[in-house]
Amino acid sequence: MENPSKNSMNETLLRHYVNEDAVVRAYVRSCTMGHRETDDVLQEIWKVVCVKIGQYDESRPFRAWVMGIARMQVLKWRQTQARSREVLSPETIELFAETAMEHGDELDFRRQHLRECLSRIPALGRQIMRLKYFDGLTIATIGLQMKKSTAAIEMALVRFRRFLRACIEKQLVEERLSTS
Amino acid sequence: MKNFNDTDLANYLEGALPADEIGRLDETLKHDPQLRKNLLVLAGFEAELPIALQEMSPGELQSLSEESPAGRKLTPRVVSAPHPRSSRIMFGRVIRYAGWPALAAAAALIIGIGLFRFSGPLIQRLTSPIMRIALIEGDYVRSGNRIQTPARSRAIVYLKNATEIKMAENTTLEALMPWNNARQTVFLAKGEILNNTAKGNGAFVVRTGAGSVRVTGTRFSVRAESLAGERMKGSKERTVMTVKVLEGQVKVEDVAATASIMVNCGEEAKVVEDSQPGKTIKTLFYDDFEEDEIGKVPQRWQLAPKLWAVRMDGNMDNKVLAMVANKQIRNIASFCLTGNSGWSNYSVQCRAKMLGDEKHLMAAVIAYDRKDKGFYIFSHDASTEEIVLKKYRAGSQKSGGDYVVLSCRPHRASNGQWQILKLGLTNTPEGILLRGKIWQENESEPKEWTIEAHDKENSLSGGECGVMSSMETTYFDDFCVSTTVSGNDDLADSFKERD
Repeated sequence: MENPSKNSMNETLLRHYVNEDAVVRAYVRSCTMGHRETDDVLQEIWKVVCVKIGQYDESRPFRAWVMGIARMQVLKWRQTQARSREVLSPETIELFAETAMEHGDELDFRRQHLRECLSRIPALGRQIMRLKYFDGLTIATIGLQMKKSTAAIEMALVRFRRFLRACIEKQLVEERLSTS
Repeated sequence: MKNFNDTDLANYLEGALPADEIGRLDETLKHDPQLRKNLLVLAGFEAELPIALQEMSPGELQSLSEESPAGRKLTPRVVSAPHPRSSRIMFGRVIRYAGWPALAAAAALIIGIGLFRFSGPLIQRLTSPIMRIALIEGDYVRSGNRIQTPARSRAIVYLKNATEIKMAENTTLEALMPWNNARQTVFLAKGEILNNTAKGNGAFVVRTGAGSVRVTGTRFSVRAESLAGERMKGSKERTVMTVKVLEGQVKVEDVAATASIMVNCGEEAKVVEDSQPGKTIKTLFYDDFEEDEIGKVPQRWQLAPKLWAVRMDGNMDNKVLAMVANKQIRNIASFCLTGNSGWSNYSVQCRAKMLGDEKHLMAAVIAYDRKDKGFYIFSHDASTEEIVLKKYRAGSQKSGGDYVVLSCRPHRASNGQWQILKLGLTNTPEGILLRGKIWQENESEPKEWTIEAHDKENSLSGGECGVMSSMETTYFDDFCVSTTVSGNDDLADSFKERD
């Protein structure tokens, strides 16, 4: 028989974490740059959250609590990169955590709008993006597959990313106008 | 101080900004909150983009791959990991199935596609593009991974939206959607899963090669298998999906989402690949007692006064039909009925929980009740640890009636646990075929009937149905009467060979 209190704890955890996932993901990605460790850090955060969920006080904001864990994990990762010059300073990492907490809601809205905007981009754009972000191919490989130059693929990616971001901005503006 | 634009920030996130530039960016970020926000927004966008692309439906992915000059086709069965370089797994949590001691070592196998870099103690470093690792309780799986349960092994996967997926043996499941999304989607390649989704936690979608099931807050099982017989004919082997709804309602669609049906509690629907979904079992009656008043007799039932009433199931927010214990009149059974005397060829199913003294406990479903003739009973008797199929033959007022045991089998279950009793009756030229099965609520419905009997007396050919209990506290819930749908010949033909 499963422990009911453990189950309800899990449900609390899941409910909250789903809401705050966008902000944690954006924060970790900002601090770990193009490093492959981004997913490892996210995984470590999730593991710590699972272990410590019993200590979470429900009367306090979950975002602040989970971002505290995220900050510690990113700083821990930062320590492993101490000799590298290609990482942000601990001070900036701390400041990023504050900025992430401040703009968490907006990041979540953006995440939702991204899905809608993605369906609006032309087939070619989705195809290139799929090869790059979904299949994980390099720009050079995509160029070879599509018989286009690396520069052309690079430019196409820049253009479609720009399109998506503009689309998301437009959606956010429309949303603000409709709620005001 | 340099003004960093979006291209610089994108280069930084790609790891393409030179080290000295990163130093300058770091200094600027310390003093520029707007730049920090811009970088966060861009990072969020970059982090979400692979997930959003992956969340596109298999149909969309298919159409994209068809556009690809490389000609590589993506099917729902082959979903690449979004981060091929990343390590470990982040879709949901797998735990060992508690009731299966043989699973001490490995509960499931997971197949990741792509070049993963693993560092866990149970995971080997491999260079093959496809690897298998044994999962243990508490491991995490991520979107794009495939979970397999071998023979005599089962697993439970918890998704982040509180959905619980119980995987039967020989089942292959793929996590199509990332765990962080409100609309969780899995692809059932083969085997059977029992899903328990929580209300208010977003939609949950199960896709198979034959179609998909979409729900919000319900309990249902899905089975995907190859249509037997077709391989022999040399044609394309089609998938067939069977959906059984245990609570609530689900929407069943074909692969192209051009045809859909709503399937209610107690009903079963089947979809053969490239065909429209159709119901194979239709509900005649269903009652979960949620509309009834606590302490009163439920509206649609004929009851023995004061013995039966609607109650709450402990602290759970769930109403049940309860037999209230009466210590004075033990060894006597009481029953309550519903339905129509004209009903025949149906199955009765309900959940039952026995809470009283084990020496006297008995819970049963009854069917084909004709007041002047008798009825059939499928009971679980805790005192003798048996399940029994029997017939009650009504007698005269003076002599009373008698019970005839048609079949009997040992069965042990813990008190205080919900279990499901199902009795199926079919009128045949040789008499009435009775078949029963019983299983724990947290298990999938057994494919085979557990107990069977043939009553050749032909004294009962239809009638009302209901529940029955000894004079000990017993709860009943989700009472459902269903019948096989006729007239769907195409679908029936499809299953003829398989069955």
